[in-house]
Amino acid sequence: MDVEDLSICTRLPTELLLEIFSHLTGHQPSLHACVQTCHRWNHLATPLLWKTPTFHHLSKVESFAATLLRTSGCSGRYARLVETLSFSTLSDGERNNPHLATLLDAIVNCLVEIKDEEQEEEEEEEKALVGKHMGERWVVPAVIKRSRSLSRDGQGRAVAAAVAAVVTENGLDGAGDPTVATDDSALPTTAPESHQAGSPATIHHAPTTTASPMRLFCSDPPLPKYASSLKHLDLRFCKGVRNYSLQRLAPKLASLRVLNLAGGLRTDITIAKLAQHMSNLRRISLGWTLNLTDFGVGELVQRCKAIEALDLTYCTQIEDTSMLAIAHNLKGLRALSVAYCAGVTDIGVREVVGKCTMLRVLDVDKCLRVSDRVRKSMEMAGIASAGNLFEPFSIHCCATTTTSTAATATFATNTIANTIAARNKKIV
Amino acid sequence: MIKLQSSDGKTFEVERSVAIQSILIKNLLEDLGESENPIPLPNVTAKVLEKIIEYCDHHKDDPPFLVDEYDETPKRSDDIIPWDEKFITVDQELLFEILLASNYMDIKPLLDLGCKTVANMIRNKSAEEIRKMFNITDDFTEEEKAQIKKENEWAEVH
Repeated sequence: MDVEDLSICTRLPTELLLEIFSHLTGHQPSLHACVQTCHRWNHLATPLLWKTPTFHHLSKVESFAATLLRTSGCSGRYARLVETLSFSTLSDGERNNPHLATLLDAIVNCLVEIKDEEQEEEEEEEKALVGKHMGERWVVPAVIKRSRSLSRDGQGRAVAAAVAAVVTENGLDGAGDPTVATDDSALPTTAPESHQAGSPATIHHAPTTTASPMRLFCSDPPLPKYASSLKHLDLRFCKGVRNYSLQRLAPKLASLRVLNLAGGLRTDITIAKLAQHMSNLRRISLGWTLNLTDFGVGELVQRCKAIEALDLTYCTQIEDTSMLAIAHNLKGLRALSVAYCAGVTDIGVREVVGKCTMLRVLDVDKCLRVSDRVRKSMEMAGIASAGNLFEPFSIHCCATTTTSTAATATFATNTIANTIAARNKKIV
Repeated sequence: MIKLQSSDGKTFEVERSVAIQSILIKNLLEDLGESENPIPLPNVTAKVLEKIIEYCDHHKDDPPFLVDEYDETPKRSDDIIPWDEKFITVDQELLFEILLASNYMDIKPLLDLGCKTVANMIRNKSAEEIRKMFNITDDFTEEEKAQIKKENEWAEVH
């Protein structure tokens, strides 16, 4: 009996085990138990556990970031699994804690890798150079002197390449490479570099942090392009993540499909800055952003034309200019909320309804200047306008979606499924 | 009527509407046409096949089972109807046999039921309890265990 039992559980094919685990995706403690069961289960359940992490305390976010930092040397074993980052399960106080911004910064930096053909070529060149002039290349003063004497244009590259070289040459724990260690004067090279990057523990995400400000400040046109597994970021009511930290992270969030910034005190400039990078964005919530004006909305919709769902609930400053910009730019828009936006009138609503042919939900609840006639005509066009329908931004409470929101929910999940399909391709 | 033959040579005669819930059999019938010869199912024993036929017979009038490939919402496993629940309340060995057979015969709703049942067994259990329940050998070294615990500490409840 025992032997048979044993054989039957190990006989379960991989796809069946995955199917079983997929029923546990909403239940983190169970997946956590599964990864600790045996090697095979660990191998299969780990991607599911890391795909959509849920945090119940800020210390857990800290521990999550720590693991990512520790393992970023092993080709980002965990980093490439993370698709969703949400802090919506933290308490109010923790979401407003500035420490959250530091952790977000560390996590995002662990998740990104530089995807820039030009840079890769440069690095290869540098490596060839290192191979040729191993001795002189690794003498500290030479590197520093060289980067200082170089033009601003070259400075970023030189330092980036040097740091990258240090990282690639080093083991996990930052021990010197044996080939480097043979040269007496070369040993200290690792020390100043890692010192520059902060603590030795953070050395592995050093290339991105060190390289990007350099590149941002010098007028070097080809900014590095970042690739990341992160598709879904939920910072709703996270006032702890300030606008400046978000702006600084903007280039590294280029892979995002879904972004929730509701109630985070975001400004027009922050939105404009983020919009510059996020051409893949499908869904965004800016609800309760009282500072947002037509300028911010205009910048957003001009840059991110693939947006399918846009939540501007309670953005009280926006007016019909935003509606016109939306109508002209977002051809694929399926859901829009301008509830409580008193500046929106019939003109704006008519424009959006007329131009956005894919639109299924347009929440104009408490828009006092939108007349009943326009509401009726929306109904005739098959566009839902009731307030409680608009919830395409939920992450963990998706299961509560009712049939009435089916239109919204379906397109929302379509988007996510597509990204997953693309990702699977990437991994394989 | 369709004839099905289990791996241990027993033949079952079932209505077409019962048999074609297995996509494997449906495709076989479509490709080869119906014949007097029984369809052999070399991976399914008589005991399991009987159980599967019982399930298919009860569900023969159900609407076709649609799997939404795009559905990203966490799958539910608390929506098992009472008849199914009673049906699947079997010993573990038979449960896994049914799971394997429904996978082989491609009967999606039954496969789904089996997976949900196993998921519900796993839910709220510790790793140690899971190992004990399914008789899984603990093949981690102490260091590996410590490492996995440390790396996934963020997912712990407390």
